[in-house]
Amino acid sequence: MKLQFLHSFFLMCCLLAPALLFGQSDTTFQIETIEITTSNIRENEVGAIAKKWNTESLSNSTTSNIAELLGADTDLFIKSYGAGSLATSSIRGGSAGHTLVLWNGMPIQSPMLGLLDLSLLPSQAVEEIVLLKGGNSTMFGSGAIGGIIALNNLANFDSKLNANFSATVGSFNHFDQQIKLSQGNSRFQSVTKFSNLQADNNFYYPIADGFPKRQQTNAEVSQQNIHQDFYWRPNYRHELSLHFWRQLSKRQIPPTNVQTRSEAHQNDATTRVLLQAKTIKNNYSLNAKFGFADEHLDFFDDQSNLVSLSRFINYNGELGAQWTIKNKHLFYIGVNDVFTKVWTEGYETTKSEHNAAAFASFQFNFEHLVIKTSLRENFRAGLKNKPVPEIAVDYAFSSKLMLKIKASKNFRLPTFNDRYWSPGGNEDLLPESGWSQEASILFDQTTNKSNFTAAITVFNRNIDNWIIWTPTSGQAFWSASNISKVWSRGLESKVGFGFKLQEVQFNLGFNYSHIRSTHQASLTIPRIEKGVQLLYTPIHQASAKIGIQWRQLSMTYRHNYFSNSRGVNEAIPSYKTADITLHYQSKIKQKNNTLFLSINNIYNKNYLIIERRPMPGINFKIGLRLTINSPKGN
Amino acid sequence: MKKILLLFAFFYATIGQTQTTSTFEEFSLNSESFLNGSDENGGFTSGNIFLPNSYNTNYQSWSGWSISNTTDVTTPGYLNQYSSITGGGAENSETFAAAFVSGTNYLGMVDEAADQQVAGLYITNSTYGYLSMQDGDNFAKKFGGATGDDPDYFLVTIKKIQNGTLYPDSINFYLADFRFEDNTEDYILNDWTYVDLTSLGEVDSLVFTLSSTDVGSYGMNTPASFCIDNATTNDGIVNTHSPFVNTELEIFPNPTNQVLNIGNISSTSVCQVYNLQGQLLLSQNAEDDILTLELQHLNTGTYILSVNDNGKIRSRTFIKY
Repeated sequence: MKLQFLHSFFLMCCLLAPALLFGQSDTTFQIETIEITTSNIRENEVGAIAKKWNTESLSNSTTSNIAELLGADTDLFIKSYGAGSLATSSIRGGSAGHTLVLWNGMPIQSPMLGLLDLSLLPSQAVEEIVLLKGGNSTMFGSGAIGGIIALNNLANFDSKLNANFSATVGSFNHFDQQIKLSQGNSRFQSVTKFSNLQADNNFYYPIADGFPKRQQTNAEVSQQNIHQDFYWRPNYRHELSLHFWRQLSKRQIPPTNVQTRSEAHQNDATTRVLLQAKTIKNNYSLNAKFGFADEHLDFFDDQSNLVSLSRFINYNGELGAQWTIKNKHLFYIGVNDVFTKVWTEGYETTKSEHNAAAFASFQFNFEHLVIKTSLRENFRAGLKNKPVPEIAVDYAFSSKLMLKIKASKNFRLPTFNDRYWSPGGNEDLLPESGWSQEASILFDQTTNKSNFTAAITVFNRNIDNWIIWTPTSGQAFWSASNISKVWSRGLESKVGFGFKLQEVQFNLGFNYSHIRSTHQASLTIPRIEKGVQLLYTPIHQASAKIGIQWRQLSMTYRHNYFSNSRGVNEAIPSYKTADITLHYQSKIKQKNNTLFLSINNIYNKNYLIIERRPMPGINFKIGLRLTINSPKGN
Repeated sequence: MKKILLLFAFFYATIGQTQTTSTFEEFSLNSESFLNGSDENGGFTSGNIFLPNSYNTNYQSWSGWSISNTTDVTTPGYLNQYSSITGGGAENSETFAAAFVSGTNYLGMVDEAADQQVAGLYITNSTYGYLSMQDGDNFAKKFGGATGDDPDYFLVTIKKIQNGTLYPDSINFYLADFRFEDNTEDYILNDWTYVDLTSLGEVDSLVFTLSSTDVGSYGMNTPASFCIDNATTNDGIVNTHSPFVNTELEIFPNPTNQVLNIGNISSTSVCQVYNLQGQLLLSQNAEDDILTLELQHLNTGTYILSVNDNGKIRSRTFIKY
């Protein structure tokens, strides 16, 4: 009953938000995020390399959603089922459920599927995105095996008003509008965002030489997002924030390239609310979070009269405290509790559970050496899971050369569907778990005229009790079991070189990944031989990027290569794609206007990421972004 | 003497040609309904054939055979899994048997048909399978692929089990065939077609397996379903000189999940349990005129009990659940 009251209270606050916002004076400020925190031991990158996007880099991006952003800016393999369709990530040969997605520290994956569709997350929804590859279960819990994607809302207390409007028009009747209004002062900030996306995705694709192209059908997408964030900072030691995110998505499910038609469609409706409090004293800080999520996922197939309705809610409470010892060492301790409840006709009854955890971390900071040790213990009735430890080390040989090493145990709890789906769910499933190790060397030489960066990471990961659905002996259905083991290993490398010739800035970048992720157990059905690469996991990935900037005009060209991979039914051929983006930016006083044109798949290559799911040929987007800033004091 | 022999031959031929047709009409289903084994009887008997069914009460799922008179020929998907693509049974009848094949489907010959030749049966696609092959679905491809040129096929293979042995002889019947050079000859069966099974000879059980060109790591994508009707069996006569005798073995309970009691045997009988692949799983001497076999260790499925009574062999099919 108390939780229901809190739910109603949060919703009421959020509904009132627009009225509060538009009642305030029209002033301006500049974009620059300031977070009231010390160096957060929990989210730092000791032992691993993080990639971070801030407000500026996000606003310069021409991508519509986080799946596109990660595909364009990182070496992650994005498993896209086609334009506007499901997209998940595979980090270092892990499954989609091995990437943990956090919104302000709160996991937002579906507990039923254990994954999140990254194509549903608009890239402008947050002020910061952090990609931290490698195992992070000690700090973030289940699912952080391959890595985490953290979406963070941040306030800028140095601004009065920021108004941002962007509109994008693209191929296949793609229309995308985003509005962001921020206003406030040094104590209070309100940020309101609205985004709308419509796309028909009715592209043509070839089926074979000598045959006419086929047009994709039943692929329309409609998405709306409303965000309201309130930040209250009574002084520099305390901050309270309330975040609300309402997301609606209607998506048609297109046919495969060997299917005549499809009338399937899916409606998602999600409400997320988070209340955060932070306090900083001289040598310690405290933070508390309480989050709530309510997500409906309804699938319909009008042809076959199939209706599948599902809903889950979860409440997420977390407390954390961090001490600074002798002005350099850090100690963090935290607890959290997540209550989840799922309704679906796929289960025999409504299912719910509590998952609690306690975690601690100690970070020793020396002049050239940082050592971080962490431990997590999970608590759930019936859960057979041992504590998961982590040790991470940073060693700086010089200001230019650094070594990072990390070893950790990581896990993923079985999803609700794995445990409760009827038929075939297995309540006795064990968590997938195992050790991962990684080592990175980073080199960075920056001068006034140029900068050169290079990084190479080698990693090794063994996951036991890998969950696979297999035919049930004597029955006509499949069931889940901890039947496989997966060994992932490989290397990731990247080189960047930037220099300036007269007025022209050149930026060159190159990425290469070699990832082997293989089953270590053989199965009859599904047909798996020991040593075979996981489905849809290319061994080789490479990309080359050239950026040229002259005054207010910039151009970026990116060329990608993915080696062949294994599909469920047949092999996926290797493919190359290339994208080009042109930017023109004008800055007049407090007005910042950007016009961009991005052309994707410029060589009009026919390729597949997932078998039978066609990808579009050459396509474009043209967009305009208008920003008006009014910094504090204007 | 010659006349007597001719008379005997005529009499034998007449007796030997007596046939029973399993039409499934005796189930008297309500309109647009089906029996999917939820009564947990382990199967259905029609005429002289037994159609095993495995039903899971926890999940309301089934495999093996169901009895149906649903007529929907337009709705794709597994929710329409009991309809035949013809909209009814063979030869304008209403009721037919729909198969869902989880590995293998069996058809047991009982009573007068046991250990006799099977004349044949009618076969067609289910609506679920037909529309999936015609249009594709989320898992399966439309036959012919995007261009129509893929040499796809959907094949049912029928073999026989006799005296516990699975014989290699088989009858292949294509429920769909797109292997023709001329695409206009490609077909997906949409009417009832008679399949002559006499070449298999005498059988205890028929074994149905399905195969498709649309197969991947997770097995066959094409829906593992089809329909049969009007299975005609030859009725046998008791041949006292044959090692196989058809005097009724008493077995109970059937289906069973713990023990199988066998009656109408002698103290010298040897009782053996085979699986449908012909592997001997259990052998026990009777030592009385009744015997109880412990079956807890057997997996769920259909088995054959063979009783050898001083060289005379009798067999029955039973279900372990």
